[in-house]
Amino acid sequence: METKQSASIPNLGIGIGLRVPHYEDIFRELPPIDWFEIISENFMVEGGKCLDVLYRILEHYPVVQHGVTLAIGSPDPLDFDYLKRLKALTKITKTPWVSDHLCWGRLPGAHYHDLLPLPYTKEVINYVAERARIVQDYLELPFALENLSSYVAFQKDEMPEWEFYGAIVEKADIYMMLDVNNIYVSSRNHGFEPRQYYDNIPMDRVLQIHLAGHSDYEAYVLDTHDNYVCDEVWKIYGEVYPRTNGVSTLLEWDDNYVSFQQTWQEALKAKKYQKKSVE
Amino acid sequence: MSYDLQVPNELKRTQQWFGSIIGRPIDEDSRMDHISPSGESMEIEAAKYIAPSPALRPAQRIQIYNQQYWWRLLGILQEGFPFLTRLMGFYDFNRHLGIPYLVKYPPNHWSLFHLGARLPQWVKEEYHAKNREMILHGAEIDWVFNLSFVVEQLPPLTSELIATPENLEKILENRIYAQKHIELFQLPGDLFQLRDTLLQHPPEHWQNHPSPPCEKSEKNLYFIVYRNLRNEISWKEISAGEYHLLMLLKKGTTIDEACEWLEEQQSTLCDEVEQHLIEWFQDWTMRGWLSIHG
Repeated sequence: METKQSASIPNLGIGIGLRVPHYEDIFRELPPIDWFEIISENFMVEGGKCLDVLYRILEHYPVVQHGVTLAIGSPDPLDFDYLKRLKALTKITKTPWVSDHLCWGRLPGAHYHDLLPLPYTKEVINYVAERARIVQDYLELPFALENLSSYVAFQKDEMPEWEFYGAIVEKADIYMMLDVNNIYVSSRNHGFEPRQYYDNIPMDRVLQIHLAGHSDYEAYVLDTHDNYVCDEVWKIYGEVYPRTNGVSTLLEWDDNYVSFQQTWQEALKAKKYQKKSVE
Repeated sequence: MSYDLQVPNELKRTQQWFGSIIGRPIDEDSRMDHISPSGESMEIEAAKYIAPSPALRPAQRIQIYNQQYWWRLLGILQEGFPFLTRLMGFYDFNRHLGIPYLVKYPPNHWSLFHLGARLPQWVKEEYHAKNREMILHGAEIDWVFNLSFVVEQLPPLTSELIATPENLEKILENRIYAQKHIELFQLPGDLFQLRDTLLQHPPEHWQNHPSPPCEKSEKNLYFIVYRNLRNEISWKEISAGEYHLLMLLKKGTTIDEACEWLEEQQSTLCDEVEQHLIEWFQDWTMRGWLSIHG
C-alpha cells in the first residue's frame, strides 16, 4: 500500500540551511552537500544579490523552501499576495515541497514576526486544517507544517500537542516537517516525555526532519538555533528516523555561526544515527 | 470559491489578548509591564489564558514572547541601520529611536525588509533632539542601502543597444530612466565617508572612542547610492550637474525634456552638463544605470 509519505516525496539526504556567512566558502569549494534549505521570505524580493546567490546555488544543488511568515493559524484571511509570491519562487527553485510552521503570527494590521502557539482545540483543528488544505491546493506542491518550540500552554487546551498536530495534517491531508529539537524543547518547557510525542504522530506524513541547537536556561529552554545539537536531540532523531522509512534531514543554524565546514560536519553526524537505527 | 473561513471566537479572543501583551515595550531590564492593558495585574490576567509550566508562572511564560518580540525587532533594526546604531549607541538607539518607532509603526508586512521603511519619516515627525539633522540623514542613508539591495533591476541600456547612430537615435526618442536602485543625496557634509569609517568597528567601539569629525562643507555635497554590476551596494560623490540630471532620470525623461530643463538652469550648471554629458552618458550606460523601461 502506498503510504502518504512514499507518494513522490524524495529523500534528498542531509542538508543545511543556506546562510550568508557561508556563501563564500560554498562558492569557492562547491562542497558535495546533498541539498540546501532556504528561508523563502529572504528570496521573495524583486532583485539584487539574494536572487543572484540563489541562481548560483541552483546551478549546483537541490533547494527546498521553508517559510516563516505564513502564520497559518492567524485570524485574518490568507494572504494571497504572499502566497502568489511564494508560488512564484517555487517555479524558480523547483522545490519538491514547501513547509512553514503550525502557528499564528498576524492580527489585522500587525505582523509579529514570531511563531506564536495555538490553543489545541477541535475548533482550531478545523480552522487550521481547512486553511492548510487551501494553501497546499494553491501551491500545487506537497505542503508541510512544522511543529513549534513553544513556551506557553493555554488553559483552554483540549488535548496534547501531538494529537493536535496529527489531527490537522490528517484532516488537511498534508505533511509534517518534524523538528526533533522542537520536540525536545517543548518537552522540557511543558513537562512531557519526548517519546509521548513521537509515539503518537502519523510518521507516514513526515517528509523532512529538522535538527538544531538550543539554549538551556533551566526554567525554560529557548529554540535559538545557535549551537550544536545536544545528545538528547540526537537520541530522539535516532528513534524517529527509522519510523519515517528515511526522509530528508536538515540542520538549522541561524545565529552565532561557526564555519561552513563545522556546520556541515555537524549535520553529517546524522548519518551515524541513521546507521544506528538500521542495526 | 470563497476562502473566507469563520475564525473561532475563542481563538480570536486569545490571539487579540496575546498580541496586546507582547506588542507592548519591555522596560530597561527587559521585563514585561506587570499591569495588563485592562489595568489588571499581569500575574492574575495571564493565568486566565495560560497554564503554568513546571517551572514558570503564566506571566513569566508570556514574558518570554514579549522579550523575544522586542529583542528580535530591535536587533533587526540595528542591523538594518548600522550608521544610526553607531551614531547613537545601542542603548540610545533602542530607547530614543527603535522602541518609539516600533510603537508608532509596528510591523505589518510579512517581509522584514520593510521593518525600517518608515523610520526616516518617524525621525522627521517625532525626533526633536539636538542631533536631529544628523540622525535624519543617517536614517535616510541607511534605509536606502536596505532598499537598493532588493529592488527590481530594469533591463539596462547597453552599449550594444546604442552601437550605431541609427540605434542611438531610436533610443533617444524614448523616455530614459535611472535604475530603481539608484538614490541621490544632497548633504551638508561627507556623511557617507563618516558612515564607512564608523562601520569599520562594531557599535560598542564608538562608545569608548571618539567619532571621527564630519565637517560641514561650504557648499552642498552630492552623492549617489547604486547597485554595482556585482549587485553590491556602493556609493560615490558626484557633481551638482550629475545629481540634477540623474534626479530627472529618476522620474524618467526624454532628451528633449532634459535639454529644456537645462536651458532653464544657471549657466554654471548648464556649462557643466554640456561639457560632460557624453562622458556621463557613456559611464552610466557601462554601469547599467539607465533603462528605457520605466
